[in-house]
Formats: sequence, C-alpha cells, structure tokens
Amino acid sequence: MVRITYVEADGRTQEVDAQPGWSLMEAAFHNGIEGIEAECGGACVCATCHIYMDERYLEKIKPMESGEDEMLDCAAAERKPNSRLSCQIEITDELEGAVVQIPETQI
Amino acid sequence: MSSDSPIIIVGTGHAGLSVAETLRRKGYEGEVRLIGEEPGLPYQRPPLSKQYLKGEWDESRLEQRNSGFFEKNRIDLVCGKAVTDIDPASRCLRLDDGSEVSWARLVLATGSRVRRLGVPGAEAKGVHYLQTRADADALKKAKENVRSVIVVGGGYIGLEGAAAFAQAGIKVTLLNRGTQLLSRSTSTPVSDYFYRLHHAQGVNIEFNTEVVSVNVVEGQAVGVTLDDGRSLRADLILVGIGVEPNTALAERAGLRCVDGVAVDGACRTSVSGILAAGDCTAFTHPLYGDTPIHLESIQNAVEQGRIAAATLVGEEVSYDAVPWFWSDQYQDKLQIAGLARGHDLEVIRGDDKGARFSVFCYAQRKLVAVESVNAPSDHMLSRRLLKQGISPTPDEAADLSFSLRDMLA
Ligand SMILES: Cc1cc2nc3c(=O)[nH]c(=O)nc-3n(C[C@H](O)[C@H](O)[C@H](O)COP(=O)(O)OP(=O)(O)OC[C@H]3O[C@@H](n4cnc5c(N)ncnc54)[C@H](O)[C@@H]3O)c2cc1C
Ligand code: FES
Repeated sequence: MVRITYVEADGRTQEVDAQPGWSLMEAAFHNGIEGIEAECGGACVCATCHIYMDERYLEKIKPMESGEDEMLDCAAAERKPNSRLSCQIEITDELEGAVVQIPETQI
Repeated sequence: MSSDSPIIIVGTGHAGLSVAETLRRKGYEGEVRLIGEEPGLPYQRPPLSKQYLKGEWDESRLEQRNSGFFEKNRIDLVCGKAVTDIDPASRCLRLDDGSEVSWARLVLATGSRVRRLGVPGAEAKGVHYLQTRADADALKKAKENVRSVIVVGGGYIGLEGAAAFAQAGIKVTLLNRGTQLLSRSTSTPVSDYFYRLHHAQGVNIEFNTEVVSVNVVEGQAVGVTLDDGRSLRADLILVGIGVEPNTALAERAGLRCVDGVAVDGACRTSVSGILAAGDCTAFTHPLYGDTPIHLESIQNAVEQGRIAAATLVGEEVSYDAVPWFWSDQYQDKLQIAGLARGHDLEVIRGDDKGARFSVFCYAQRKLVAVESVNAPSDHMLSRRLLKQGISPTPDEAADLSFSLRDMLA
C-alpha cells in the first residue's frame, strides 16, 4: 500500500492507504473523500476529479495526454501548473507520502 | 425519531448512492437506509461493458465506495433484498423476505431493466445480457471459451460488447434492426464513424435484420435464424436491445408513470413523501420543451440523486443540468452533450473521416446537442454553450478557426 494524503479545500486532511495500480481518483473515491466527484468513474470525460498534484512528485508521474489536457482547460476550478485529473494518475510506490490538494469546486 | 426520518432509498445503483451520499454531505442527521436487490457493495455500471468485460479491472475496482464509507456515513446498506410492495397510505414497504419497513420519506431509484429477446429459443443457455455485475461475470466466463459471437442490437451495449470481443480475437457478427447504428440517439456522421471503426476491427455488421429465433441444440444456443431465412452460427449470443424504466413498484402503488416514474424538477413524484431519481424517471426539462424526457445515463442518475437529496433537506432546487453521456469503443471516445431529439440540421466541425470531429445538432436553428468523437474540448465547451442557451451559427460551428470558448459568458 502507498500512503497518500488528501487535503480538502477547507484544509481538512485525510490519509489513505492506496492500492498500487489504481488511480489517485479511485483511492479517494473508495474512501469517500469529499471534493473529488469523479462523475464518470475515471473515463476522463467529466473533469470532476481535478486535483493540484504535489509538486515534489510531478516528475514521478506520467505526463498528461492531450485528452486530459483539454478536459483540464474546462475544469470548474482554476487551472494551475500542477493541475491534473486524478483519474489519470496511476498510484505507484514512488508516490509514497504524496500530498494531493483538492480544489474548491468540481462542478 | 423525528417525522422526516427514516429516509428509505430503493435501489443501490448510481442514483440511490448519490441520494444517500448527498444527504450526509448536506448534514442530514436522520436515518438513511439504502435497500437493493443486487448482492454486494454498490458498483459502477459503465465499466461492465468496458474495462471489466475486457478483463482490465478486477471486481474491487468496480465498487463505488468501500464498506468503511457506509459505516462512517451511517448509511444502512441492505443488499440482496428486493422491495416487493410499497404502500403510500401506511408509509410501509415490504421486502421479499416478508419483513416490513416503515418510512417517513421514500426515494425510488430502481433504474432500468433489460428488454429481453422475445423469440423462440431465447431462454437457452448461451444467450447473454449485460446489465448487472452478475451478467458481466457470466459473460466474462463464457467469453474464454468462444470463438464466435453474435451481438443482437447496435446500441451502446452491443457496440461496446462487440469491441471487447473483437479485441479478444473473437469473430463478431452484429445484427442491427435498422439502417443505422445507434440510430435512436445519434447523428448520421457519428453512426457512420462507428460503423467504419467496427468494420476496420473485423466486426461483421448486418443492417435491416431481425432475429426470428435462436437455434438451440441440447439446451445450448448455437446461432440464430433471421427474418430473411438465413441461419447464422455462433458459440455465444449477446443481446443488447435496450432497457425499460423499472416502474413496477411505482405503478402498483398508484404513482403517475409515463415512460418512467413522472417527477418534477425537484424529483417529487405524484405522491407526497415519495421521490424518484435516475433511469426509472421521466420529466420535463427546461431546455427541451414540454414533452417529457427519459434519460439513461450516469450524469442523470447522479444529478437527480443530488436533487432528490436537496429536496429532502428542504432546499428549493430544479433540474436544469445539460444531459451528457459517453461511450468508449476501442481507443475512441464518444461524448454527447445535450439531446439530439428531433433535430433537423447536422453540422460537422472537424474531419468526420478522420479521427477527431464533432457534430452540432440543431432543431429550428437552435443548438440542441453536440456529439464529439475524440474531441473533449468541443464537448466541454458545448455543455456550457447549451447550458447558457448560446447557439453558434452553423457556419461558425463548422469553422475550426472560430473560437467556441469566446462565445461563453
Ligand atoms: C453495461 C452498461 C454500460 C453503461 N455505460 C454507460 C456509459 O458509458 N455512460 C453512461 O452515462 N451511462 C452508461 N450506462 C447507463 C448507466 O449505467 C445507467 O444510466 C445508470 O446506472 C442508472 O443509474 P440508476 O441508479 O438510475 O439505476 P441502476 O444503476 O440500474 O440501479 C438500479 C438498482 O435498483 C435495483 N432495484 C430495482 N428494483 C428494485 C426493487 N424492487 N427492490 C430493490 N432493488 C431494486 C436494481 O437491482 C439496481 O441495482 C451503462 C449501463 C450499462 C448496463
Ligand atoms: S473521473 Fe471523470 S475525468 Fe476523472
């Protein structure tokens, strides 16, 4: 298991033991973390799983594909340089200790 | 116990779960019970015909939330029990084990049930449907030992199933009733695109065909006979000829039903204290006039679930979200914003013979739907255009250098 910390928009934090191979969205979704809606369940078609990725770990995840890039442009909250769709980030051992920030709104 | 509790939700699908979860998010403190006839934790349906059927996902990935979530949120989950009757007068419902449960408020989230193939032989072994986790498990198991499949129906389930089989190297024949795939719901360029896509993957598609019987040998389906007299052989038959709203409970209890349980914009049914959400409903939508619409989509299930919960906690809400839908086939992604019902003009943005384009559908010069193939930004921008009631002119829509984004408020 990989320890991931989610920080909700109001500052509440929650630590989750995440399954390698799953996505950062799934780990949040299964644990009922609020603020990640994930309406499409990871099909990269809703942009309601937007997160700000821990900058220390940006190098350790696969770069985004064009579909994610286009969806992020239309996400409800502000897009920042570390914006990603959490359903497109696969959890690996390298993400141990990562802190994921959840934006104010997804819809 | 206060008079607004307990809230009982019938159906543990996407809509039912959305109601329960939203109630807690909104701070509702009363008792919430979610009753469903399917066994196990609530799961996601779309992957059943996609990642799960292909074997890319295991069962735990299908689950919507883990069991800790239900405990933490004090959602009393009752699985594997069907509700057989509801009685609005006594506010009581009966389960298939004979027990009775009282409610203060009730939400019906009973979803859809599959339309079955009503021809001789259709009950034989080897004839499959794809709606539940159990269906998908049976199909996955059967898939390991088959070399040829007949898919009956060229809708989303049929096409996604065909894609999963074709990708596993299984010979697929798809039988379509009309002249166009996905005909009820999509534009001609999009249907044609998916025809070419499946054709290129080796799927044999037959149009204008009707199955008159399933051929059975020793209880096992071995193929079908068509209305033109031909017989086709196959090791397995997958039927995807649509679904119908599950209104039986509601009808028996005297709720108004027309192509679904009739609800208003706040998800209230015709009987006080009873709400409904998701695939089982029909309602009028501010964007689509006076004729009720009925949707079968995740977007609608989740949205109506939220609305029902808001109504239950006393908020004033009304459904005005733009409907959207998606389908994954092979590497391609179809995304639909809006409803192409009764449109009279189709305008192509991009190259419909290439791998990325959108079709803008108009009814009386008003934009009503946009169907995008591998064009996510068109899709997302279209949702906002539709929401704001903005129609680019057909010329603007067709012009790739015209910025849709700049039209938005
Ligand atoms: C294979 C498949 C793929 C799909 N793919 C997509 C997709 O890509 N995109 C998309 O937008 N939509 C897709 N859909 C449609 C989407 O899954 C449905 O619109 C959605 O599940 C509707 O949610 P619901 O909660 O209203 O109903 P359901 O999910 O059907 O849930 C209803 C539940 O109620 C239970 N129930 C019914 N009657 C009773 C009773 N009397 N007592 C107790 N329980 C009862 C049922 O057993 C069921 O579990 C797909 C559907 C299927 C089957
Ligand atoms: S869950 Fe829908 S885009 Fe990530």
